[in-house]
Amino acid sequence: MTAQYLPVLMITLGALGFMAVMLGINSLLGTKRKHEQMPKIMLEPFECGSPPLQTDNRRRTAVKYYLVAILFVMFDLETVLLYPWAVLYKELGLFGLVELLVFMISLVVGLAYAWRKGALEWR
Amino acid sequence: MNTAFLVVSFMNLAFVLGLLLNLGGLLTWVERKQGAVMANRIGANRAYIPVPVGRDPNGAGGFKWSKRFTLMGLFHAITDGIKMLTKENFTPPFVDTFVYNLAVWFSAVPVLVTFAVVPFGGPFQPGVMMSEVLTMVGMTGAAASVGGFFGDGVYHMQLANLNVGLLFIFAIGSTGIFSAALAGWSSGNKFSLLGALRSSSQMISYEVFMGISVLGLLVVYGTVDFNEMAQLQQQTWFGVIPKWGVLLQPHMFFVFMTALMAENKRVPFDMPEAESELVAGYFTEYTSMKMGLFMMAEFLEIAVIAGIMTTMFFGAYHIPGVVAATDAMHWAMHPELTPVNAIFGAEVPHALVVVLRVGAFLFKLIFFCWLQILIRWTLPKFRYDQVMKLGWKYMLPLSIVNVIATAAFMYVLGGM
Amino acid sequence: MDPSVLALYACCLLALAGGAGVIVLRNPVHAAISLLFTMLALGGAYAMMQAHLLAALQVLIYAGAIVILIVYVIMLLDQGREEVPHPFYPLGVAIGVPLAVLLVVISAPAFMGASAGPEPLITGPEDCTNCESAAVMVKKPDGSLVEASGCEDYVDTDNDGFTDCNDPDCHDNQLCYGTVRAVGGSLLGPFVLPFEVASVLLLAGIAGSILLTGRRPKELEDVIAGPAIAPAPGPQVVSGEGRGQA
Repeated sequence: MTAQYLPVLMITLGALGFMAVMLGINSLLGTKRKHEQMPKIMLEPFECGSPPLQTDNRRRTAVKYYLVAILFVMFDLETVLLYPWAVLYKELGLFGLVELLVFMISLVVGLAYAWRKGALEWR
Repeated sequence: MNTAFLVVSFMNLAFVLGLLLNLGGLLTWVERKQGAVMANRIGANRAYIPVPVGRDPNGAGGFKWSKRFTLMGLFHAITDGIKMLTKENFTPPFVDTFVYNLAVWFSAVPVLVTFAVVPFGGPFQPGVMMSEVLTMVGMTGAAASVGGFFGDGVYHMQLANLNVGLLFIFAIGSTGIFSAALAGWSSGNKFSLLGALRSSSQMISYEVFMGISVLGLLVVYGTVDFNEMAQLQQQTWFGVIPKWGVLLQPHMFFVFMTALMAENKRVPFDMPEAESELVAGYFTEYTSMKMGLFMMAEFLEIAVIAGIMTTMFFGAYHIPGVVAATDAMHWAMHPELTPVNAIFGAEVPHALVVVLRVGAFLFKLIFFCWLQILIRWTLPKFRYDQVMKLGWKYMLPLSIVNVIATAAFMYVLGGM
Repeated sequence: MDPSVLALYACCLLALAGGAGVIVLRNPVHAAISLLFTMLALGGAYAMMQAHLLAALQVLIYAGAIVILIVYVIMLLDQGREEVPHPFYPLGVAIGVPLAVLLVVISAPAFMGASAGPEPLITGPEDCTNCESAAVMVKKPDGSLVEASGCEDYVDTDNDGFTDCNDPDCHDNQLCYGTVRAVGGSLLGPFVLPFEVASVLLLAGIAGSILLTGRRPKELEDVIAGPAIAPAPGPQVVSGEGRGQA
């Protein structure tokens, strides 16, 4: 059955080849200059024309983005456990329904807790 | 593993790459022209190709040129490409060079790879099909040799017939988040960083309910395999109404489509770029073809989303009213369609079935591309907190309720 | 050698190289990208071992969610701008080397037993690589049972559009190891208790993460956030010159 992964490898190589050809043609045809030959304004971070305060703008980010990420990981894990259940549901019958309800109760409790605590508010 | 399988795989690969890359280019033009038509403007109409129509009566050996051959501005897609290919490929000095260049590759590659599991035509027998066609044009010798090479083996017009189908799309699609996150982080620009954070936050938020919203449909289908889903949608109610996903779970059609469009980060979910706020978002510091590939990835994703929606909700490659005859390779028309039956007889020839199936798939694919561009030019941009609220507070609870309701309904019904 | 075994070894090598990169690379974001390639390679290795669902979930969860979380944490902590020094920790070597030796000793028998190349993970009717001897029966549209000729996944014995491993008409539904249906069968069968416990564990995870990042009193929040637009200690640009030329 692993033969089915051969076309996946083929399209991956095809996509990588497409990217390589596009970037390769660009570096062949495009103008080539060293950084010293460029106008100084090209070497600054773009800030709509005003002089930038500093060249490195990587800085600490707000913790709310981290909260979104960790909630995503948790809900995503719950979701992937439900795919095998969905595929088998017709054969499971009542057992499958009870199984889903038990699983969903914990998911809904988690969501309700996050909602109540204001974790879903964007501020 | 045999040679015929390899040959069929290469044929499929050529079709998929050709289809997607051409659509990616064409959609840039569709975006402009459709937007222009909707805004009562003319749109792209300047690029033209001069065509010689004869000798110039005044000049010595010159040509007389036709009027500007603009073809509704179609050449703008080509001129865009040429322009981006000839621009300076420039890496700013303040970026993290390795990550900056790597992020480009994460933009279009996952999008192209996800199309591997989308069936663009039904099962087909290349030997039977090609010998039918070759016999029709009178090349019986070639027909015999081609038929002998492929035998009566059944292959799929789908690159990889993976058992995990939809999960493969989710898995490969989720690596696309890295293009935005890494591009924005490595650029060392305030706008890029904000765009990266916004886009990756938005993408992961919408991935949560994207997975849950289709669970109801998966319960009804009982599979995540795209090929199997496509086959199941050939069934009908009362022999006429096709059991398409959009009729089984119409509300989830809208929810899933919303999730996919938010994943694509286009207007109205245009948070990462938000031209009015963040210049170009996470790819502000990119130039030439590197910027072009980020843009192209969005247009490629339009086509891939259209393929996924077609397969899951709109009956894949099936034409309503047409049912399988003795096996999946052949069609019989619905008995009511007597004029059609009079032409083809009880069974439609295999080659025609294959062509019609691919045609039906392409028709639906283009319909969904058009629909996405229609939505893009109709709705205004949301505010960021509205996007997050829509995802977490409306779509996610709605999807959870749908799963439970569908499961209970299926149990009461005793499995459809 | 079987090409899929070669591909398996290639994936394992890539995973090892990625793992080494996580340790060796000094920039945290580069290390995270190295980890991403490890996860993708592990997904490929699972796929080559015919654990299809596991491969998809590996990429979906680890590459798509966990590594993203790690990148977020790096951004959150404002790391990744400069390289982290690599001091020499004698204690780390003292603990790490014996553990590495122990790992090799424990896992060596598994490699020794497979000196003639890896054995198929399971044998019998469920194993796709072993189908010639296992006689898989497929139901034809007219109801008769026929024997599937091989078990490569692209073979469709009864011409109904489903390849044999995916065919719902297959006599044995658990025809193929590692498919969604097969894994689901064990997950909702013998392992149903861990399946349910996982959901409770995830609930605890949600509660914990919200508590950790939750809303704090206003004055404390300002202290933690610090001055928002303080210039970073990076090199300052002397602006003005060159402006207007472009």
